[in-house]
Amino acid sequence: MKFNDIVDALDARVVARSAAFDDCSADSVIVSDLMSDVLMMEKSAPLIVSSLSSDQTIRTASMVDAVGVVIAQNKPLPDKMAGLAEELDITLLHTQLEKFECCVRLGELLNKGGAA
Amino acid sequence: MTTGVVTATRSDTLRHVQKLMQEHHISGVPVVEDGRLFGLVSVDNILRALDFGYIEDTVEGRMTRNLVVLDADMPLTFALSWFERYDFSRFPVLDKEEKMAGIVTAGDIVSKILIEMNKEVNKMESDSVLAPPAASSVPGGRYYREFPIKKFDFERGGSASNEIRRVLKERNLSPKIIRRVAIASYELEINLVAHSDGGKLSCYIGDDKIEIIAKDTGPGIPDVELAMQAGFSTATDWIRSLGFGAGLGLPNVKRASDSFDISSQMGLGTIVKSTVYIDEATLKVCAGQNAMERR
Repeated sequence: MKFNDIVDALDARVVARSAAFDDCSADSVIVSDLMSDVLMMEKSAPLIVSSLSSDQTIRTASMVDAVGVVIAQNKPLPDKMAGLAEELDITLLHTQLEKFECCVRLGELLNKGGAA
Repeated sequence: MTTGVVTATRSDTLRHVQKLMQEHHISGVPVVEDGRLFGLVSVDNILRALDFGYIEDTVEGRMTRNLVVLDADMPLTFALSWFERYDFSRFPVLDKEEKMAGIVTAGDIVSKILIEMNKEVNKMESDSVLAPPAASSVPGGRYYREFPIKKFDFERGGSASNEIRRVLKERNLSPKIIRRVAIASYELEINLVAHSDGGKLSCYIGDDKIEIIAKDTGPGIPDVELAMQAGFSTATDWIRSLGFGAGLGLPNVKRASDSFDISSQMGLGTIVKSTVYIDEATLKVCAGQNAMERR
């Protein structure tokens, strides 16, 4: 899934744009509010969907080589979160959709052959 | 936090509480019996009692019962965020036994933060003169670095692991190895932040292995075997609200490591060592890379 397709599918706002925004693809999706759960998953180039709006979501994404983070449910973003995402070169998206709806739409996108 | 707070009991009258407020120049009186918090009488409760003529009623049926409270071991920055989240001017504080420990106001927090900021500035000034080099490394050679980690410093929690990950990436180690070390390091760093009294995270990169050691100064783990079980955690609710405390930290570290050691002594602290071996294939990649760099 390319980011432009993800942004359209989730009606998302791009808060931080990584250097590879236009080129990279998310091959998998991890949905969790527990960061230790995220760290346990072994998926390649994952996109993390969470309603945990915290700097630690970005740091965790960095540790598992995630291509991006989607903060769902319109959770307000802490002041420094966008800056940290830019510093760690991780795309950060923000959407009003609930996590379940995000999963449904991302699943459709993956099934359409949007995956790399 | 203000301790030795003026309190009332459920059988006191609102008139009595009104007098307490006037005598002590306070705008809220917690209702406490045997240390247990039952509610709070605010100026608003008193004004309504005067308006509607029930100022001689007992506190029990008229106090505010649905209170938002803070835990005594919450960091100040977290407590401050609650003043933004809720439109209250004070929060009762409960200790680990859920007994009333005191009251905290926004003013208490601001003055404490100012004192801590001054201390930090003084420390930074002296450190900048006295600090030894933090890392020892030769390009492509062995590397050792220690990172001091502070209790409850969730804002910077993970930054040491991020630096370790950056150094490993610079060395062109395989992504799989970098990810395993990063996960072990990050979980150990967050453990130091969330569960210890503070300590150090160190990273050693040798020719054939990477070692991450987390060493803290307390309080120690009462039952290490229990702490290693997936799902067991002593984390408080506010730590869980930050996305941690699911009881997966130490099992995750063990899973990511080739070799894992833990020892803990109550009152003295805990040492956890995670070792990831650099496999032969990776060594070849590194050797090739180094050879290319030498050309």
